[in-house]
Amino acid sequence: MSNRAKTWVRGRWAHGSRWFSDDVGAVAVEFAMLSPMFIALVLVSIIVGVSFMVKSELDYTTQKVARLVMTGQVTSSSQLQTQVCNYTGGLVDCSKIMANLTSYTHAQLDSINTSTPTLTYNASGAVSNTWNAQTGSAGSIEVLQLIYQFPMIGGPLFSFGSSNGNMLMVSTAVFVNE
Amino acid sequence: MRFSLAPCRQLFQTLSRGRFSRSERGSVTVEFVLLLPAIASLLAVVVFGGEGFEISRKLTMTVRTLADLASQQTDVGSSATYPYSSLLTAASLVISPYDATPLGMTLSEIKVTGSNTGTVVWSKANAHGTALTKNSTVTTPNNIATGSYLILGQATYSYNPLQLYLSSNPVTLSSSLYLSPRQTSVGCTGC
Repeated sequence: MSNRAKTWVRGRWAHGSRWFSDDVGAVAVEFAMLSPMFIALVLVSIIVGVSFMVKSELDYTTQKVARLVMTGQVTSSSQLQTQVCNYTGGLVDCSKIMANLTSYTHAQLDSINTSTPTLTYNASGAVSNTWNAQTGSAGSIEVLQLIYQFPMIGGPLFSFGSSNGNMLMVSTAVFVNE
Repeated sequence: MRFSLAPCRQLFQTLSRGRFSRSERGSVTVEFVLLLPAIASLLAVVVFGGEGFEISRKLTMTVRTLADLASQQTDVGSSATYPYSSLLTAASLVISPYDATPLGMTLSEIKVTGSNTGTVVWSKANAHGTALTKNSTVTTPNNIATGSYLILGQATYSYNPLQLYLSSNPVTLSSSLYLSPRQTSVGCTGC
């Protein structure tokens, strides 16, 4: 460091120098320090709001698709996925909605699994669960679950029941097939 | 030993008239810190209140599912068809991904005995629900013919968002619904 620079720094550090008692710009500096927290708060509010919209969208889709399954208008897993995409709005990537349609007869219904589905992942991080598309027959009880992992921006800060930064959303319809 | 207030007075004067009280450094930080609890609690109200509405909506769908499943049966007491226990379990799936443990459900059949009154024919509940007393009187909707039957589904949910942080009383969400049976009446053998 040159002598001139040393003198400048020493002058700034000296007790009672104007550099340290100068208040000009203090508010700006403080805003710069606090703005990340403030912006994070605003972002969280937006994302929480969007997550509620997506949840109600998922519920709507479930009810609509369940009706189609009930009336026999869905007979395969590809039709199931197509219909899911028909009823979701723009907030959701419908190809990432997992549809699980399981058919139960009265004997099987006693052993029904009531826990929220546990997602499993393969080595590349993709969901590796296999989902059913059992469209059943008249009189059987159908359980249609739509499962969606809503990506939370800043997810690690707010883990809503999921470990990978996504919020797990599940919407279920149970009905008698006709 | 005598006490003098002089040092205190001096300190007060220093704080009130000196550079300390006039300095505006740190005012934004102080304001932010003052506002933070208010903003954070507002956000918490939005998150937990919204979750409460979400559970409430799922509860309505659960109770509809329960009554819908039951109204299509002919006998929910027989294991040859779908017994009430299976229907209660199946309907509890709808509340997912929320915990089904605090979910109480009651499934009943009501015989309409007059204008806005009916009696309980049979009533069954899950582990957290309370079954209605057989033959007790309930209020029924308007304009239902005397002698007809109705399926009544009821559900409650104890929602306690703050349990994680502090012990508080849960909010009880509830929903109920009447449906007409597909056939005249839904039997319940042995109920």
